[in-house]
Amino acid sequence: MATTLTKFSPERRNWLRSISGIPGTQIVIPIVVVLLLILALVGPLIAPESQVYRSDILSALAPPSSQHWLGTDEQGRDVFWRIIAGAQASLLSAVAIVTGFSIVGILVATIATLGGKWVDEVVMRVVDAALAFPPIIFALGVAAALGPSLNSAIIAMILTGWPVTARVLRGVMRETMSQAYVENARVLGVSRTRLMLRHVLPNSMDVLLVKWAGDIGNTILILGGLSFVGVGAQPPSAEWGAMVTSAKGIIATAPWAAFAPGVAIAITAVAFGLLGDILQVRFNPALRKR
Amino acid sequence: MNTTLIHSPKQETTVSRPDATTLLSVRNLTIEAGSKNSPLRLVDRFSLDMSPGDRVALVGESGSGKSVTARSIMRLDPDFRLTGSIDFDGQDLLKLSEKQMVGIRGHKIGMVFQDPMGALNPLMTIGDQVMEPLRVAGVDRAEAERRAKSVLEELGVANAAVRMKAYPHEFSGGMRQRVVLAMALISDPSLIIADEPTTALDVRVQEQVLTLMDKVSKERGLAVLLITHDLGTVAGFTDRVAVMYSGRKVDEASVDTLFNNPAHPYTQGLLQAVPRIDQTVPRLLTIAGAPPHPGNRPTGCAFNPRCSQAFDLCREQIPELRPAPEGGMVACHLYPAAGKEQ
Repeated sequence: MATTLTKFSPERRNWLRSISGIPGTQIVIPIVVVLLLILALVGPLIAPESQVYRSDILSALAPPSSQHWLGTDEQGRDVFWRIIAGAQASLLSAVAIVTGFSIVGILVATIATLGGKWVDEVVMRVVDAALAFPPIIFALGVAAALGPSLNSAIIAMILTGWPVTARVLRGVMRETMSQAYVENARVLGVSRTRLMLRHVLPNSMDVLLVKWAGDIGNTILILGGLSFVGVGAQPPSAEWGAMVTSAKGIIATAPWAAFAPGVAIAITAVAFGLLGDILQVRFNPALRKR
Repeated sequence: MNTTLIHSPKQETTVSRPDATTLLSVRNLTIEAGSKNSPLRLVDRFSLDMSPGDRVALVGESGSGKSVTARSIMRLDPDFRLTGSIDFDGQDLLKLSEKQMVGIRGHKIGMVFQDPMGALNPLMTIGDQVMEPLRVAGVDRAEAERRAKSVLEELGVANAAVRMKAYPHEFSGGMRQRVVLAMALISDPSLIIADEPTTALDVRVQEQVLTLMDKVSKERGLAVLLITHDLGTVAGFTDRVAVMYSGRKVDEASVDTLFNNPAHPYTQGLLQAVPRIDQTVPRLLTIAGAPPHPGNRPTGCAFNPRCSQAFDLCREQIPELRPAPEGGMVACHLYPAAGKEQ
């Protein structure tokens, strides 16, 4: 009986590990990411409308208290509830943007790798040209065409984000193409399409996964910058990046108004970044422990 | 003996057995790389015949063109310009489209590479990889699995059904080479090209893999083209040897002839450089110098700067392949065609 008692604890840990395949304390990271995603889905529903949007000049710039956990901003709006409500705009649009331009990047890199010398040359020059567009200026153009909104910011960022992914991934794919197992598969009569889908892409994905996860935090910050110049999320909405940039002017008197959404962005960025690392190990049979 | 016809248009440039049907017939294969204006001739008019079940070794130093020749039979490098003809099973491989070549590779001609460590996709299970050639040919999963299991068992992978679910990093070098061999064999090809299959393995595993290849090729009647620089491997495994030097075939003979009466001075040098357990030599003989760069070959015979028996003609004229006195073919001015002297 004594042995069963001592073995109880590790076995319970193994249960979580066996369904996720993720060892030890690392399990915290996917849990945080899932919580953030849940928050993004239900946040706007649970945050009280009056705290998030209505100005209350009398209680403006109040420091954190039992009434306002993270204080209030210059309009007297509750920072904590604005963070909860803004999770959707920040997180889901960041995930959408990064996923969107990653997919475009994968497609372009695949075409460049499969197409042979000339196609590769032409595609990569197009990528160079696309890289030359500054995201903010491009977003201003999109906003002029479609009207300023979060949606046009998302479109603009997808359109300016893909060239970097395409460039990085094409380099990785070229390296993967030169691996012996790719040559071996070719020698065994595997067609180019199948070679790409089953050998080259999966073996190039680790780099993309890390880039995807690392881009999430960066994208939230750029979204904030866009709303600062009036292109992204429009004033009353509580988007994290917008909250940070709008609180810039009062940072000396009410640091919490900028600091709290900044921490929210940091937690998100770190969680997704580490998730990328964990997934990279998870999908590599040689690295994952059994 | 029809040796008086020197300038016959169909001059034989390879040892072939007229009684057997040929499986692979390479004729005047010339391989060029680089730009069209300044081409780099990697292989010059290479010819070779193989019958079903034949086991031929292609030996030479690094850079002699042996691997390039093997790869070009499979047309693996789209950047190389190939001329001549490669008849396999009644069709000229050089005239096929890339799509038709995909049907040849792996299905009719198998190939085994040097490095078993890198030759397996780290993200796919052993089973999936062994099955892949069958799956791309449209064989259903259950049937492919059954055949993969049987070929792995044939190659001595114990507990094949379980090990098919393992990943490459869980296999040792020798085991991986068996898996690579299984991948090449599963579609039942009639020819296997083995490009230095044992070079990356330690000696004990080398011996195991060679014994296995020997057994399997005998049982299946499989023709094997073995690319190697290891003459020990050659002696134990093949029937016939072609020696390449600087992009040209300079010597071809049966294993017995080559080892007992080597014709070409280069072959003689290669054999002297092999340490032998039954001879006491004060120090190992080497061939002085290094093979020339393909863009900078000497005039005449490419071997002449390193050849102890070279004379004036060697520095002026490239020797053609001619029948050697002890049998086989040799490209050396020491052996003028019988008719030319008279």
